[in-house]
Amino acid sequence: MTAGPPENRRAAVALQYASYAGVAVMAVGLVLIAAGVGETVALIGIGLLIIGPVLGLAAVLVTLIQEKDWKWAGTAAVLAAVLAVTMLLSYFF
Amino acid sequence: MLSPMDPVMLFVLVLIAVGGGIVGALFGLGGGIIFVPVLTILFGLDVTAASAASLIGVVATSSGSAAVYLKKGLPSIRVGMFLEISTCIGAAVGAFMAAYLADWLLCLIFAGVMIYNGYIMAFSPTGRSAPQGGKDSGRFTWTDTNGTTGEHTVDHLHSGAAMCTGAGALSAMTGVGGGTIKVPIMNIYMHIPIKTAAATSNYMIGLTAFTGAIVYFIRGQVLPEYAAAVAVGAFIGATIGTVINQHVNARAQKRYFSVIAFLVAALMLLRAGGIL
Repeated sequence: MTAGPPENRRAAVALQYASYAGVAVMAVGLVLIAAGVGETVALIGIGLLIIGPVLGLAAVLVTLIQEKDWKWAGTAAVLAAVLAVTMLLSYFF
Repeated sequence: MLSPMDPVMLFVLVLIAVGGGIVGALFGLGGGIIFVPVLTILFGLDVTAASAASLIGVVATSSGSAAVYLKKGLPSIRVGMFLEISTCIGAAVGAFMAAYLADWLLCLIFAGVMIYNGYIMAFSPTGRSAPQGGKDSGRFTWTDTNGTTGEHTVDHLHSGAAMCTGAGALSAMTGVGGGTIKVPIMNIYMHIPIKTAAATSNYMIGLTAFTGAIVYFIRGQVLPEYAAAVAVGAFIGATIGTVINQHVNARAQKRYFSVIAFLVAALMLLRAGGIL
């Protein structure tokens, strides 16, 4: 059952796919690590997992733009920009 | 010190992370308040490596529970996005400030915030008061626990966002997701129901944790065996926690939240005193 505004559903789908993919790959990586290999596989899984929230935000932004809800699309865009700037600052400092 | 390279210890770490994920999903936390002490005290990781693995676990907790809550319409993405802007700015400032503050002072600040949160949650009259409306309020859509979707008034939007700046700064300084700070702000000050506040906090925490996690990831500071074990366990725990959350009384949930807050405060005071 899906309730609430339409952006909720798309964000949920993005989060779900990214997290399922990430966890599945990490689980395989853990089994391989237990056998003495598999660090790269686990790292790929970690990468898939942590990108999920950003994919969710992108899905929300696209939905709000399609709905021409400019006020909240702007809010999502500002948040995306803050995340990008914070990442860059963290990377360089 | 335990080594997760041993398959049995890997399994133990996954099980502990399942517990952290359940707690995280129930109370709108990321689980970092459990992951960091476990990784540093039991597995002997330094705080940086523990924080990196913890943040990956926090993303897993948030993703696992937020996806379920979003489908049910419990969180307000719009409230979350609005508050997350100031939270992220605060987190960046907090991370910068942390380099100049002594560890014991950071622990003391965090313990103070936890004691305040626990007190408010335990002794506030009958939960949140009714929204007042007014200039600093807005209307947002979410689904109540009884399944009714509708518009609700949220008070103190801008001042609540300003408080979240502090929450972001404190969470970056102390290395946890910040749900223990954001949930009371949303519930008590902004008059958002506890379950909606916890669900919205879960959504927000994923974005906050991503910011920290991606930096550790790019810098190669993530230990894959620890991070993957924590994340897989946290994800399973969060999925279980969201199911339990549907059957837990909101007032009891607030009481349990206050117990967690007092316990964390005690741990941080011990750490400030150099005992942990």
